[in-house]
Amino acid sequence: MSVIALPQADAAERPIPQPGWLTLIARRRTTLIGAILMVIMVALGVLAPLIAGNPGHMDVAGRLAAPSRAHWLGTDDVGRDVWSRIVYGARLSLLVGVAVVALSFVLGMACGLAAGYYRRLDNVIMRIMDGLMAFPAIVLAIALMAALGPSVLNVIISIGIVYAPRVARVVRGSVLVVRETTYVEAALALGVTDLILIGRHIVPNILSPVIVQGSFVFAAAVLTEAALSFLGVGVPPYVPSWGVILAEGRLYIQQAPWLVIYPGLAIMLTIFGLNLFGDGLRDLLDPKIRGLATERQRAA
Amino acid sequence: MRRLTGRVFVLAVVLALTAVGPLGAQEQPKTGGVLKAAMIGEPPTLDLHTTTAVLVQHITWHVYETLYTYDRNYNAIPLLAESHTVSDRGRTYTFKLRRGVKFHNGKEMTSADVVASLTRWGRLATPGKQFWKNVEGIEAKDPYTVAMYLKDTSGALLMGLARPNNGAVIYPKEIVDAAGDNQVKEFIGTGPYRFVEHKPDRHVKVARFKDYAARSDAPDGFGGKRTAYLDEILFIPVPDVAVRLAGVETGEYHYSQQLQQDQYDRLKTIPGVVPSIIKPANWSTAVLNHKQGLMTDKRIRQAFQAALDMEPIMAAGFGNKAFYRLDPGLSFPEQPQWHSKAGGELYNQKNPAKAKKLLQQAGYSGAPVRWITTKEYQWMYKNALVATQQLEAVGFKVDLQVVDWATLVQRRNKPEVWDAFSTGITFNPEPAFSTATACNWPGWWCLDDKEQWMEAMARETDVKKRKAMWDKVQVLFYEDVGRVKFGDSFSLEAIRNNVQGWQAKGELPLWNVWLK
Amino acid sequence: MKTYVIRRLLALIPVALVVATVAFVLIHLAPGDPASVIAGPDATRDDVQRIERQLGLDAPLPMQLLRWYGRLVQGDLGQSIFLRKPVTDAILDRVEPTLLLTVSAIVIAIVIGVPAGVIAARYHNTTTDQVLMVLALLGVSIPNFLLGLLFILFFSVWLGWFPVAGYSPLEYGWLKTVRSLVLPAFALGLVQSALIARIARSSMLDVLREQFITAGRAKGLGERAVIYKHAFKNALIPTMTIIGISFAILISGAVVVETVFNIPGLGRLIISAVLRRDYPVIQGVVLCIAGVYMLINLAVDLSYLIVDPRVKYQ
Repeated sequence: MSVIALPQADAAERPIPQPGWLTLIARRRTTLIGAILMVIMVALGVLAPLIAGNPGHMDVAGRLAAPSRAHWLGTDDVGRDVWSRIVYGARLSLLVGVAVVALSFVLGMACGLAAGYYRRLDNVIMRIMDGLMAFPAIVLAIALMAALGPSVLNVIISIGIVYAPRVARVVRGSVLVVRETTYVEAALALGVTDLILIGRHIVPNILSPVIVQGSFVFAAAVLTEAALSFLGVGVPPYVPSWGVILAEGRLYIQQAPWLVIYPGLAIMLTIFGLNLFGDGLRDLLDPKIRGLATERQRAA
Repeated sequence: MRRLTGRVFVLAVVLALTAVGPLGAQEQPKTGGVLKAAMIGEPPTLDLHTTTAVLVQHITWHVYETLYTYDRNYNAIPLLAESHTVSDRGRTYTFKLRRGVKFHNGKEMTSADVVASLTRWGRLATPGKQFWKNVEGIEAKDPYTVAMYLKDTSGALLMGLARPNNGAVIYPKEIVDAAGDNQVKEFIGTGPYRFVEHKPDRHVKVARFKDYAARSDAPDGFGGKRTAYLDEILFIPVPDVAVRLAGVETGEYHYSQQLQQDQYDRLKTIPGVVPSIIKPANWSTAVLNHKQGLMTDKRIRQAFQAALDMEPIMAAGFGNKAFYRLDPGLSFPEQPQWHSKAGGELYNQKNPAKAKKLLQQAGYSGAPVRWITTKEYQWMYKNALVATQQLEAVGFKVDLQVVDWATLVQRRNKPEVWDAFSTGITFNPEPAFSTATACNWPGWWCLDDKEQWMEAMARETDVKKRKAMWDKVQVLFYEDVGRVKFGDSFSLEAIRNNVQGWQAKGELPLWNVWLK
Repeated sequence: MKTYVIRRLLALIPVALVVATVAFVLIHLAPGDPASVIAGPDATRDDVQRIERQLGLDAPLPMQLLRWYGRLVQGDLGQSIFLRKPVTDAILDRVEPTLLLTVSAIVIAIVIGVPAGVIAARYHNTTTDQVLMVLALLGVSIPNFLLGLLFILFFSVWLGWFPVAGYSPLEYGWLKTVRSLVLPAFALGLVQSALIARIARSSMLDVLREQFITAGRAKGLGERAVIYKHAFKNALIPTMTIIGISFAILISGAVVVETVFNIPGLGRLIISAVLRRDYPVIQGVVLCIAGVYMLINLAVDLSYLIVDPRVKYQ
């Protein structure tokens, strides 16, 4: 459930043959499926107020109702509509995913760029990143949540901090590669300032692996939030989150299995879609860096 | 032919005898075995004098004993005491203690231990402090006689001494002296089971006390002869109700408490599991903070009370209709000598308009009501959740803080951090020491009128007069909004069918229980 | 070779410092001052001040940090507020189930994952490969607690083959212990095996494309020899890295799975510590887990000495 990355500097040096185009097509199809799943999830999240009712509204008399026309996915133990909760759960996952990607990228890019570009800072920054990565993701997230307290914002901050070092690693590795290229040397010789060099020359060239990382961080964020909320140390229990729905629904697993099946499916399909999409994205954006290095990148 | 008839006759007799079986045979209790009890969580302490948490009473009253206890009708009968006499126009109680009662450390219980323990109870325990207001002094007259001098007569003294929850249990004097106002370090009592070990989050283990001085009279309620059939009892904290439930279904645990009432119908059909309804169990309530914060304003309290519709609140918490009941009484209908509906017009008002008006009059600024609740008692969380929805509909802002039970019990002692917290008032047959109306219990509902009635009720010995006073207190409870009662609830417990000698009581007595 | 070992050991020090500092910072992140947090909601003014002096919390921050390092080096992790015993004791009490669970999970993950990956690589681009890889991707996408819940439903409640929850300590018999750990170990291990399978497959594929493999085939070596003798050994390094990393993932996975199965291990300890705001325990457990992870990484790094001859000569 953590995203690790090893610097790609080594990978670029090895000659890697082109894959047969059969493989590319197979990958394309799965990428398509991944993309579709992602679009569905995003649509659910964005359109939530239009397609779902109030996820917190309790109709106690109608609790634990099986799926029906009135309640497409049934109701939970206090009479809340499961469909609405799942849709708003998608919204929350979307929010958390995007925010975590944004936060971890801002932090990770800053650290990775600084470490890759300024040799003197490299050691210090990377040791700090290593130190943070010495804590398994969930454990660090739990500890941070303990300090910060349960709220959606704190979940975003905690998970963002947890994944920032992994992004930083990837960024740094790419920067190291790009830094050695001839056009950067040329730019340096021309006397281009650091900032412009970084902004105009380095960043655009490191984007592909970083973007690929994005979909995996997204997936990891969704999964980590679900786990934290399931454990009771994530979002407050009255916020509709797939993890919370699972935790509350598990008590009724025999009488009302829909309370576990649907949030479980939602989590699985979302992560599955994100992973498929991430795989495909990687193939499309940078066919050279396939195989070993990318698998290492996406150690779940 | 005769021979054949003879043989047939013998055969018939043999058959007849074996068919009937040993005459009037009942299963004989077996000694031995380890009973695994799945409890709602980890006990915050094992010192019964210092907490009203029911979980602690469930565990420790197998280890400690009181001078008196309840019989099957919830009247007080002697346990550690032999007998008592009342003199000086009802103001002096002289207790004769049983002889030869051993503590788990081998020492014999004497009046010195009783005096030390009761004094400590009077100083630290919530019902104890209430009780002690009427006590002039206590002394050990001889090693087996204790005299208690009261300021005034008491209608509730024996019941107060018999109460299990936060009970007046007897510790050895040395342990009381060593502890002072802090928690006791060792858990030594006179009970049929002795404390072995406490591994936090793992279990509390008690084992049979071989030298237990059992009474000779037949078991009656919680009194009479107590036999420790089991070798050991393990009280296992299982905060996850799904795991508690599944565990008793598969035989992992012999007993599970506080199961979701929804599961009752299903549990009845599972072979090997015997569900039982504990009735009465408690009434669910939100305790309001009269000392500090929003709820010090009476109009805001009244608005809180007026807005609530108890049916969905209770239905969400307890599901199955067989497990809850809407009733305004501070006591349960099962106790007709105490139950009444006085003041009940203010119960379950379902009046959002009135609530809104009250909030306006109070000039409510929108400050959030900090409500502490827990998911460890599922129903507390659900009651709070539904109530929150109703309160927000009339304009309240509610900050629902969900913590674990141990934290809730700690936090509620600090008036700065909460405005309301969830709890259940457990069934208690003697209203004089009820936490529901106590001034010195979190919530700090202290009203001069109410204090006077409570004290008068404690002194009064005439049952009818006491009831009239209790009614007055109940009226004040609603008018002044001491607490907000949601409704009566019954809890669902389950045992394995090889657990014998079981009594379906909220206090969980495990002596006289044996495993088949 | 010695320099390699020494360098690796030295590299640990700055990381350990960062880890210790992060753990130190945790309690200062919490709202309110650390002393009242440690003293708990029951405490009086005097209690709080006493704890402040006791723990040196009235000293300037850098001073506190140094003292913290000092205590850590001596193995003093502080006192648990709720359990009223040293944190080290609390951890040692609960390390057995977590350790057994993690080890069983990783055994399962390796035993299922590595062969699956090798087979998929061997039959690259055939249906076997596709099927295995889709399964693996599914495995990576399912949260381990969901898998655990489903296992409980199928194997404990419906089939009754395994206890639904709980852990039987070794002192009560190792057979019962194994029985109580089967479901949680599989819930953890299966998900991890999917990851290991993917990595093993990629490593194998990469190696199989190498020149020396083609050379071997040209020489007329049997397919078996090619796969097992040459390709596999070379694919071992990245696979071992991922196994090392898996340990960390499994330890964190154990935290979640222990809650699902009510196993009294480190995972449950940290969760209840969080719910009870028992900061010394949170700090202690987090430090322990990070420490174990660092040691495992070190072990994996050092094992390269055996597996990869190139390392010796660096």
